[in-house]
Amino acid sequence: MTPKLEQTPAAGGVTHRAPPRRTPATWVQGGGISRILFLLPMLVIFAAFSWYPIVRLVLMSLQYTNLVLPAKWVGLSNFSTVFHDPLFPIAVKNTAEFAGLALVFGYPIPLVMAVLISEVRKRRGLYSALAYLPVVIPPVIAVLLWKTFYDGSANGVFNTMLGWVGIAPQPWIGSQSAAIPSLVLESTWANAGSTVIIYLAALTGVNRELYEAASVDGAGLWKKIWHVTLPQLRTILLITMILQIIGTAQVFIEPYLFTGGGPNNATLTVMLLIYNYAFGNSLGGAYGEAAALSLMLVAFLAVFSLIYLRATRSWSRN
Amino acid sequence: MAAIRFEGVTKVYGDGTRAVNSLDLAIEEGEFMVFVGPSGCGKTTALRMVAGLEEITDGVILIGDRVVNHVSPKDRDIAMVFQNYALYPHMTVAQNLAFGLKLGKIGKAEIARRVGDAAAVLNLEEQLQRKPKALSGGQRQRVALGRAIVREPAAFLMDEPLSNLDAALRVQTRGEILKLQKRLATTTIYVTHDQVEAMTMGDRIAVMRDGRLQQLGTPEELYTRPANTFVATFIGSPAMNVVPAPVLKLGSESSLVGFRPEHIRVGSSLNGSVGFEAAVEVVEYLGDEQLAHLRLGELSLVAKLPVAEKVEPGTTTAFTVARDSVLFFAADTGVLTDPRS
Amino acid sequence: MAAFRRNRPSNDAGPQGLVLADDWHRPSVRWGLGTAHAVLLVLLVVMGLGPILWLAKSAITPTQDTLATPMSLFPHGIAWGNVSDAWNNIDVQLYLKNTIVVAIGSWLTAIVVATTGAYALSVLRPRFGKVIMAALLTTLFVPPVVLLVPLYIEIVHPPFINQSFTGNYWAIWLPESASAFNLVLMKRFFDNLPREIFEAARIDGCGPFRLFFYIVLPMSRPILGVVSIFAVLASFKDYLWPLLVLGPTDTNLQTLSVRLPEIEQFTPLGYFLAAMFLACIVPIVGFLIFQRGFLRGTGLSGALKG
Repeated sequence: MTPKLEQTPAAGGVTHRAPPRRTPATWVQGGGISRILFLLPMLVIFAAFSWYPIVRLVLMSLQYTNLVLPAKWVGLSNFSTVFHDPLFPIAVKNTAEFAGLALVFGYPIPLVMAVLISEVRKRRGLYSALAYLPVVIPPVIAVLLWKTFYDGSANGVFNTMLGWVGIAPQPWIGSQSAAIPSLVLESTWANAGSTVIIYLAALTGVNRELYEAASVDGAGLWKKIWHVTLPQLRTILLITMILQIIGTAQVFIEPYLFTGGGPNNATLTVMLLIYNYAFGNSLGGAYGEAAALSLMLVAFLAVFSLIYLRATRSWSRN
Repeated sequence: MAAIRFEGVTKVYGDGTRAVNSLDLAIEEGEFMVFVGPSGCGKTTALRMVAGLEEITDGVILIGDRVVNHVSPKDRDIAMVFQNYALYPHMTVAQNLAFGLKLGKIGKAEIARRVGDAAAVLNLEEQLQRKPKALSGGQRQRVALGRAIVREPAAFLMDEPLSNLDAALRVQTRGEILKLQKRLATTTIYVTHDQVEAMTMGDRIAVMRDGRLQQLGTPEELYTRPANTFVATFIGSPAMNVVPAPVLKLGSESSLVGFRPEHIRVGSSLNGSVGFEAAVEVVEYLGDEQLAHLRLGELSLVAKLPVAEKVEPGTTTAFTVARDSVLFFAADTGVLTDPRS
Repeated sequence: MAAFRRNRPSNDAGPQGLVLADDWHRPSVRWGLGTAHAVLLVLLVVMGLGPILWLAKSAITPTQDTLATPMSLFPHGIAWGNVSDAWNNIDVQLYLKNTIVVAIGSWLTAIVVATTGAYALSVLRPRFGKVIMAALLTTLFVPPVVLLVPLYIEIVHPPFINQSFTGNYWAIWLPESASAFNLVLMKRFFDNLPREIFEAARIDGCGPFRLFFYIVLPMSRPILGVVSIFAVLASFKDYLWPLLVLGPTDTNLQTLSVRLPEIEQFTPLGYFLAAMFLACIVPIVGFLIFQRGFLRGTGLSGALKG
């Protein structure tokens, strides 16, 4: 029988019964098992295919792996091999050239397009859809398609069009100097659309009253863009810039499918070199070197990102 | 229905805040109990512990004769009405009402009957096939009530259900909730920060502050014999005037005296009353009465006077209060003291 | 200043206020901006639509014509045969089917992993939730391409099992579902669902499983749409990983993206372009139908990164 207790507050001398203890049974009752069950798919998948490979990457860079024998520790010799490979500086230079060109050429374009599109009065959706369409095309198709465009003969698609305005046929991807720019052109075509959409979304977030206030202050169109639009977009602009740099630093499909790294290693990028180390015909099977170079790439990008974030922190804070 | 009991219930959050501090409280079967207090006083936390939505750090809660500390909410036989209604947005009104019943494996015929009855009582028959976003605030609130009713639970737990309604709707719905509860005679705990709701609705009221129970009693008990200055000034509007005893020449600085605005009259003190002089700052005319805002030194007082009494703003007037209407509180603790002891 | 005519546009229509109504009335602005828009539209049609239209045209043009005069329009008639030949002789139908199967599998595993994980982290809140989130966020910073080598080794020589997983679609589906991005996106969405509804459901009698299926998932249609589109699109565009997993011994399992480069050398151009066009149809049609989802999702991801 439960004893009757006083009903007034702070009634002294009331004995309280002890609260029931927490036991494994209460944990189960509280849904403990289902918590684990729901977590399981994610944990297993990530452990197997995300966290473990990261650890494995670091280990492999310090080992000699050949899929038959157990792995052998070789210290930093993989890194040394990569460093002394004559292809290494070439790959780094090419990758830097690609990323740099993409930045100069391909970074402003989506912004200009987005600003223009945001001011369209009718059928804005049409503009967005057209801009995004290339993004939807599978990269392999896009590259193969542009490969035919870049056909170096006089009957190649682009060369034919150049012929209309009296320009001689160009070798495009067949030329050492023009190869990387050609790749950058296709890459920009294929990827600008998604950035345009991101910028459009950010532009809709700009407070209209800022523009109105600027107009009252007498600002014309260009001044408004410079003093209102760009500052408001500052954070997203910095983020897309770093993301683009990181993305272009890992470019693989374009050099692999357009030119296989040629002509004469003119389009050999770091990722392509990693691929060649691991799966290529001439090198192939050099998993340790591939891992080492991968790790170097990650480390470089991480350090670069940190420096970038530090340097731009003063910009993105108002 | 069932009685609900708190025994030494305490809730401490991870960062050390004591939301509820050793609450002892017994609610009778069929009673409409109101938890009232300012924000952060622990009333909602206490309610949620009964519901099973918050873990009980120490102490025991009983529903009926059963200790429910580790019983999951669905097995406690309670139903809750949330402040923001918490209706399932992807379901129609009918589905919202029926959801808990379906999960409880109640037969289709019985579900249809209960849903139909609730819809009829709450005037929701036309809305049954609509989704919450197509309903007005008042209609959504009724669906929330309906969801609780169809469960036919041992207790209703209501968390400030009227605070999102406009004033007129609030008054009307207040009455409807009360009628409903009287008819169903289900034990109800009703949480609100509005003392008017508390006074008009509760069979008994529990006033809380900073996690502690200040006073438990009927509305009349709380109004006429508040246990401390907090309850005295919290219940009743305009609030009770509480001043140091010497102002009315009724004692030393170690006491406070309190008197309600409606007990003040214009005039000089007679036998059995005490008096004071105060400057009249503002007089609010309300049609059936007037509120005079007075200033006595640094103290602000409010008097609720009949319209016939003459008070002029800008004058200093003598006022009087019947001695019996004055309550005494200790100045250090704020607790009610009996002046005869 | 009087009369700023306030166009209060909906989200997807109307100017952003950069050019005000007043500005618009000035002839220089109107003509300038109008011209810019016209030029932009022409550029977008030519650049965006142009290559695809060319592909469509060339898909049904005889090889010789494409080689000789690529920019002409059917000088010697239409070669519908290209398409049927591509479909049958170079087995585009098989690879298309494979691509679709892989996409569906990717979609399912992505949804399952993302929803269950996000549900656990956001709603059920286990004790080590913060640790897991931190581990997830660090993987966001690791470029996935870089994991290809260890992943490949892991597939070829899995730790406890003595059998290679190459040539198996699960080797594509499972690693792809390890997307911290999808999980974070979904968790954020679940975080924004009103907790009161979950509490009401618990009181109504929902255990964790019913809460997931009857309440959380139905309320999550928008984000499920976004993640689905991302997953399917990513699957169609995936190249390097399926290339490694579905090597030369498994050609009949390969997806279009993997297969096409391999047969480029031996295939007449006309058939090849037809095959490429067939490969594009599904993504393009999908895009046209689900435009809003694509555009909203990409904007969302920008908001996520920003």
